[in-house]
Amino acid sequence: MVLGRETSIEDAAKIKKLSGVEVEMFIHGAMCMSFSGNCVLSNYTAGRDANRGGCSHTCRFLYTLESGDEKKQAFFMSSKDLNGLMLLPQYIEAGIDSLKIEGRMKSHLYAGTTAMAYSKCLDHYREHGDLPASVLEEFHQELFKVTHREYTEASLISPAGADSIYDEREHDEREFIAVGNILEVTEGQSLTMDVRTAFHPGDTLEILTFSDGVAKVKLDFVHNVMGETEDRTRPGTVVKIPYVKGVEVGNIIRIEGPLCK
Amino acid sequence: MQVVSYIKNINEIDRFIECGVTELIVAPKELSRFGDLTYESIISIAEKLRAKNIRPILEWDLLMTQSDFDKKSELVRPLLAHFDVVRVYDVGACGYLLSHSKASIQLVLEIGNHNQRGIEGWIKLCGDRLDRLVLSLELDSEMLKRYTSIVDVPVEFYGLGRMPLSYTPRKLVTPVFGHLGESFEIIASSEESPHKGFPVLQNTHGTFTFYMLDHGPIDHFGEMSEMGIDFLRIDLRHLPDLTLLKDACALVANFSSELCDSFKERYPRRLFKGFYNKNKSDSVFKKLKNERLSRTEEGYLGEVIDVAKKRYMGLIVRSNLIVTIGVVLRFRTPEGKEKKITITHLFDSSYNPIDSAVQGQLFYLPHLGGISTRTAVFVCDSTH
Repeated sequence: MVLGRETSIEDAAKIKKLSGVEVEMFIHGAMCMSFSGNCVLSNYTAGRDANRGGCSHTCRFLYTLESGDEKKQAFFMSSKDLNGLMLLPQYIEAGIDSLKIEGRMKSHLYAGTTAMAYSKCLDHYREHGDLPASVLEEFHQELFKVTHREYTEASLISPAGADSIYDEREHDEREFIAVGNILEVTEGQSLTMDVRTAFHPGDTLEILTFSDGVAKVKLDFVHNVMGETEDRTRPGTVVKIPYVKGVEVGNIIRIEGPLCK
Repeated sequence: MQVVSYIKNINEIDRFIECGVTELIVAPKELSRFGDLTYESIISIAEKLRAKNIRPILEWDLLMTQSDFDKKSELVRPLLAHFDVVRVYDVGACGYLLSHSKASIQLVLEIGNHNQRGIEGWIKLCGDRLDRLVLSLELDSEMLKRYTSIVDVPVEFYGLGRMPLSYTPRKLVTPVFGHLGESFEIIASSEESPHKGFPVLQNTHGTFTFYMLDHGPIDHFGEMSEMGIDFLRIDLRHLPDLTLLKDACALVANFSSELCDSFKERYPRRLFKGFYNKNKSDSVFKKLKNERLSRTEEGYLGEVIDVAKKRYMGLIVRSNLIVTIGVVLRFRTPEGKEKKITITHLFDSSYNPIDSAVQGQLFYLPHLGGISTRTAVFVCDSTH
């Protein structure tokens, strides 16, 4: 059973026990402020069915609120993003069978980073039988490197309160930007990648590997397919960069800081 | 077609009797989203309604987490002695009634449940305990007609009243205005939307937004009766009094255009028909997908991901087709232009000659004029 985002970890454990059925819970990603599926704002204001992928995010708008003669402005319907990583030990203890991380409409970098952070923590637990705060904190930091609103634990422990509202205009808080994906690995020589965002020789890229966490690569060279040096890469092209051990086809590559101009 | 409505006060009973209403929804503060009746008052209302031959319906339409459910089901249990029919929205509440009571069930299917199989599933689950299905506001007249013809239990549709848009357990207004009371309303308007003046209600159950216009496809009441809708729900609790109740009931019982026009003039809020005529809220999806980039078309090979004009272009094989020298490729650019070439040379990602390329492989060809990245590539005569 896939439980709604209003469900607490404690309630999920109880539901599992009473029903005897595996349970899946949402653990990370953007949240609708409404009970799951119980918002049709978009249907009526934008003519787009919110429950079939057409949500126009009316709830993220700034509203002028009038109570009698008093007027105030607020993003009063906008929810902070769910982040349950620090509560992973409680998920495990409660016997939650599957964790759901939002990936729909998100970038490869977002999906890759969040899935990696949670997977690595679970790997640690499987290997050592515990999840110390230091491990959780290390991977929690990764979750701040992708686009996100302020984080909340929403209703995972107790019903979401006033501090779960994101009373701010949407803005890009990314520390890292996706620059491409690994297409080919030539053992000991080079990595071939597609370029989504421009970068330069000399930059340091980070590669999200499948098994070795984050690998860093200083760009001693950037070549095109003909072996010619690229002074600045162009999105929509393919380049070769220095080889890094442990990198595989499909790994996502990111860069820290603002977009290259 | 009959009217079902809400009672707010025991003194209103005679008013409803005058209008020919035969059943009324009793909405307790603790169990109903917009209810404000106390525990004591609902019992006395239920008793008085019965004495007057009006069927009382207990409304328990909250959505509940497990801990909420545990509390609310305890509150419902003693009330079941006073009500034969309970109106529920949460599937858990429905299940509870089936296993812990003999009450008849009116099941609200207003969001989701838009297909025949789903509706039939609920009918099967509830069996002879199902008293009525409350159909979704997102169904247009065509779908309503279809479902009323296949469903063999009485069905209800929302005829007139406020149009609820969202329901959250969170208290959204308190962080802005502080404590304004246990239950209160404000008005919300956004500069970024052409729609202004959403009523917002916050009460002990959470926060609810409503559309600025009232739902009222009243021009079609006659048609609804003909298509077999058994009950129309008229909810005037947001109006100052029940002045218009009699006329609304008359419209349902004996529809006429004159009566309808006169009613519209006197109704204090603007009305809209919702999705009654046509629900087109999924039509935008077709526009959001670029058909030219479709990967499902016969012969799809992959896409162009690297271009150096007049020099080379790199393609990635995304399907299980194999590319070899001699194969004819068809290119379709994001703008829809098409070109064909026969492969005479094939190169790897270091521009060394190769004979073939397979799924997941990057390969290169000399650049073909007009081809840009994201161009879809198809094999004209494929070799699996």
